[in-house]
Amino acid sequence: MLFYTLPFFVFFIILTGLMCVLERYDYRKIVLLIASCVFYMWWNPIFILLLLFSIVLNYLVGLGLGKTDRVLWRRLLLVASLAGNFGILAFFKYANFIQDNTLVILKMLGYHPSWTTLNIILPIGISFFTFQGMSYTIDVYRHKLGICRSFLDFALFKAFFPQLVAGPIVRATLFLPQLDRPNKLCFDRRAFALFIRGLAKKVIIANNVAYFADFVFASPQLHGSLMIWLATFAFYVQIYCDFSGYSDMAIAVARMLGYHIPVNFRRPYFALSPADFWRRWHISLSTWLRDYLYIPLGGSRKGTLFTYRNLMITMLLGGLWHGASWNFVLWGGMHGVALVVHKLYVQVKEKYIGVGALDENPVYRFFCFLLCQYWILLTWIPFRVLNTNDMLFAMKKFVFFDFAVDIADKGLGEARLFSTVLILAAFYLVHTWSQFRKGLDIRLAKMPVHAAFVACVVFGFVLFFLWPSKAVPFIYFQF
Amino acid sequence: MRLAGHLKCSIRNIIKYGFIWLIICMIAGGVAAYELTTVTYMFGGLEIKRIYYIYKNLHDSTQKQPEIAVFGDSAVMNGIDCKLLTAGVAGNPVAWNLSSTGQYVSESMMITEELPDTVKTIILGVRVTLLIKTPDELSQTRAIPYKLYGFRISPDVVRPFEENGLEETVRSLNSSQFANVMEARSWVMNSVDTQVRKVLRKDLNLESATADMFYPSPYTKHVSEETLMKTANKQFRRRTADMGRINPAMRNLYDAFGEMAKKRNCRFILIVMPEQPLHKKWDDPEFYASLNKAVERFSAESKFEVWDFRELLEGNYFVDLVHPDSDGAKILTGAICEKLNRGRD
Repeated sequence: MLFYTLPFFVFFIILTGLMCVLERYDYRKIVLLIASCVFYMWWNPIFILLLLFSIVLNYLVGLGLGKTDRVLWRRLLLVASLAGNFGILAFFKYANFIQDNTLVILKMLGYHPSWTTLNIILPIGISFFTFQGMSYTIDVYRHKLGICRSFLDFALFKAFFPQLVAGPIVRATLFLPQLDRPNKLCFDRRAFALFIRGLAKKVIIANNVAYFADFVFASPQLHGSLMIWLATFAFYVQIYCDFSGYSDMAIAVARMLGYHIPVNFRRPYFALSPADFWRRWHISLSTWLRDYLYIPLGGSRKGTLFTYRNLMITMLLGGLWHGASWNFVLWGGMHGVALVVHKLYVQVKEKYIGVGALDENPVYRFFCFLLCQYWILLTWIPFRVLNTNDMLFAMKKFVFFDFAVDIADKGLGEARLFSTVLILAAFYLVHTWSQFRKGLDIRLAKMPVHAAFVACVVFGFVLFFLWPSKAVPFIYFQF
Repeated sequence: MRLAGHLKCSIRNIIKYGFIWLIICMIAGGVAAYELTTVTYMFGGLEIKRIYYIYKNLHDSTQKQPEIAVFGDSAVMNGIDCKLLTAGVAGNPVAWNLSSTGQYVSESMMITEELPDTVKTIILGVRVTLLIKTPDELSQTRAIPYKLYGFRISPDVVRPFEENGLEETVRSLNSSQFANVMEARSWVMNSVDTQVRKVLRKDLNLESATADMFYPSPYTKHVSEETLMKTANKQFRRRTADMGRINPAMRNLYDAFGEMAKKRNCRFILIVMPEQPLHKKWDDPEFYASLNKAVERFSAESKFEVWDFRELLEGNYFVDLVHPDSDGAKILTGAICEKLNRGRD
């Protein structure tokens, strides 16, 4: 069930209707939990059992951790939780990947075993809710969070539908306290404007530019550098608008229901360095990786080389989190290399030029911006093009520009080159404007009522024409 | 009482922020756009305009209606000059070129439904590709202009596609008005591409081609030898002996078109359009041997006339790999006139 489809609107109207009628907060939570289960089961009912298993496992481990102070027992309980969570993730997400790679290795060694392919279906949102569960048990283990005794509260924390299938990965420290006090439905203009922002990003921008990116990347070897550049740029915008659009809508829906979900993006395409990018992109994942992987590995406390190693491990695993493919590992590795090189550069710069030198220089900042965004663009190629030969070809054409600029016959049929360029230009205009001035959603939330009405009529008009007839699922649903 | 009070409070909360009104405004904008779609649609792309232009002319009782109707894709738009046809055929019957870019058989059949009773001869020009390959499905996007502008779609048009398992075509032809309007929204995006293409492709005569009932000829400028070879390298695939046969489904569709023409008391002629001789460099010679036999058999077995003009034009009579130039059109139209006149004798 997608946030922008008719079934969701009907579902949401029924849900909010029930929430309005129910006065007791406990009843509201029960309704919300049932609604969340329905939301999840809409995709494939059987996998609710998996979600239920994850809820029960983490809940029981949490209770167990609350009952004992013995280090050994606590460690065992934590291991049980991690094994359970990683176990379902390994089976449902990585089993095919492990099997395929094992087969390749065995063939290289001269063995030719006959295996039955498992063909496991990847349950939607599995990476998100397992990471969320692990963050709870780790926090309880570290005494950073009190245990949650209410099964209803814990189940709602795990299954809360706005963030269930594609994040943000909400931490228990943030969400569980919200369940202790009565929620208040909040149909304010801010929530509305945020939802509209997400809808515009997903439907108007991401879904429309996807046509062109799909057209070129379906067979990159038929195209020259210019088309590869444009398609990469289209995907760069598509994935941002797709994912951040979903996050905006999730935050808005949660706000309407009276809950707060933290922001997941802070205009990452204005980042000036790789580190800056990861402070702005998929914040809930990057902070998760920082708190539960990078810092436990030693962070930057054990010397320079260990810091680089930790960065690389974190980014490689972060890449693998996205999907069971070497492409995502490469993607993570490229970001890891960028972080290491940047860290090294900062150290050298601070040593020879001085701390904070050049940081305020606009020319230097612009150069940093271009370099950082160039690298980010390049990293999206392995993320998008899964076939190795196609990927290498596209990367080669991206890096070594061939100057084969023949676009006259490209604006036909499926390609939609020129309309895509127009949408990309419009996106960058609004995005840049929002970076330096207030965002359009904030303006919509604050403008006089009559002006907001006119803006909504215009938006409805534009949305009707630019809403593609082909439904494009959210990219991050596959993770 | 408390429940009612709580409910009232919640509803007041929703109304207070104007939330409902904002949604209503958005829906109003969407409804206005829906209503405007049909009107604005014709400004979308050049192909769309041409369909509308054809429809308008077929229903314009103030002008002399045609006796010969010519159908086909852009190769026919460029290859058959209906002014010359009118002048060249004995009795000077008015001939109209009703072809459009990428016109499918289903589209030709839809236009045929709208033909006035004055039409006595229907000519369908097809390229070799349209004889040997499986018929393409008519997408909803292509069907929309016909449906929005009021073309009648009778069971006679739909049946052959049903019988040949072209499900998407049947779906497109039977789609609801609501579905058509929703699909018609794509004109906004398409028009951007069409307008830019108009600026970039100076070799195309697209604008005037949309509004010409005799010789639309959108491709006017010869491409260079270098571009020709480059495009051929990219597009041509080696055709082998086993490909030199008439596709059965395609044949059924042409038969159905022939039957439709017969019902209207029209003579139906299928013309195999001239092919760029450059093809021969890529194809197996056996392909041509088997295709020649297949076309001969097709001609002998069909209930309509099949005129084979594949070898009619030299390479220099083509502007590119597909489209004859105006001199080529003169030769081809002359050959058609000659055959038509011979038939009358």
